[in-house]
Amino acid sequence: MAIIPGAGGNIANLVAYNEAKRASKHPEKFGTGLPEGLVATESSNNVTVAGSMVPLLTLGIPGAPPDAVILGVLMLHGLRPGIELFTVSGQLTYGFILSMALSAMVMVPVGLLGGRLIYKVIFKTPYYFLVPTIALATILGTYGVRNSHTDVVLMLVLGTLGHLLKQLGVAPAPVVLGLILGNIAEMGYVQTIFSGQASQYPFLKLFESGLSQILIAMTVLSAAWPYLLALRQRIQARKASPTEDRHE
Amino acid sequence: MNREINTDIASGLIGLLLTGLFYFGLEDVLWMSIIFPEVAGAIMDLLSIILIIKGLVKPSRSPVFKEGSNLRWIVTGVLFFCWVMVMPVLGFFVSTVLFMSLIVIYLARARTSVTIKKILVWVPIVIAEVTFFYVIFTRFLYIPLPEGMFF
Repeated sequence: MAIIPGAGGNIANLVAYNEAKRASKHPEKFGTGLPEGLVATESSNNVTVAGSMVPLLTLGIPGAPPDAVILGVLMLHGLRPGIELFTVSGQLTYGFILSMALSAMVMVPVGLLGGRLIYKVIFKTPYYFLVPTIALATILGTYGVRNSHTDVVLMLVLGTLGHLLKQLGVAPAPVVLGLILGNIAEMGYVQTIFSGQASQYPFLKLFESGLSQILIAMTVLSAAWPYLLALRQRIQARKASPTEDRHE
Repeated sequence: MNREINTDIASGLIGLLLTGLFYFGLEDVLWMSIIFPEVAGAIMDLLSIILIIKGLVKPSRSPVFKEGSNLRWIVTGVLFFCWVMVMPVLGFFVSTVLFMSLIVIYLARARTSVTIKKILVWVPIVIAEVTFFYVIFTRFLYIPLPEGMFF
């Protein structure tokens, strides 16, 4: 997921969480601090760091906010992502890649030694201290991105709305995915509509490419999959029921 | 109290309400910029209507707000909003110490008896925690935090 240009780093942990939930024997317990969910999101979060460097160093497309910071530092030092980064400035770039491998290895002892300690500290912290601390971290994180107080207010309003929707059975993860992928979807859609202005129906341009046809088919199939499964089960149950009647 | 509602209809109505709000916001937007929001709004409208129809055809009621205390949730939420709203007036440090202490005291009431002695322990912990984050952000990360009437 991380090597997908533009979005990989941001969505990988959400996708990992969703897949862990789908594969779990207790999906209803997700969201309550179940280790499976935490391991899925946190391990994918670490894995994406290296993967997201592929589109960043080759195409100059950051997949997550930290990648954008690295891109900024590279540009500041006159290093342009692309072939030159691996040829002219190869020594620096390969050193950077090796340092990432080293940091991944260091993560093992840090995780093994520090993980237990951090777990114990968090577990023993009373919830009435944890709640405002988490709120403080979210406020600082939101404010730190653009130094905007309005962003913090917006975060609180959307957080409240997210809580209400969660109570109504609307999962927050797809909403967050929509927020992240919205920019990419908008750019692609508007470009396609503009390029199809010459025809009477510009939106038909969306279905012209073979790749987009495959993607649309896969999207429709994945959306319809639960209903197809339910239909199949119903047909199988109907086939089985006359036999049972005969036995009775 | 048993709180059960038809979540399909409720989610559909919230979806329609949100798209309605977005449509009002789109009035002054140029036609080139409006292309995608209109499509996204139309898709959201369609899905909301499907949810409402599903809720009417196959009505099912699900429990909502069943975990925890709703009053505690509302009061904590209001305190969060007040915290953020007074931040530009009192400044980050003062408002955070004040409201974090209030939230800790309020939430602790549900689990333990709150005494002056305990408050005298909790408040310095909150001050130490806020100071830690304040120093990290302003001195090391060079991110200026909101300043108010004090600093």
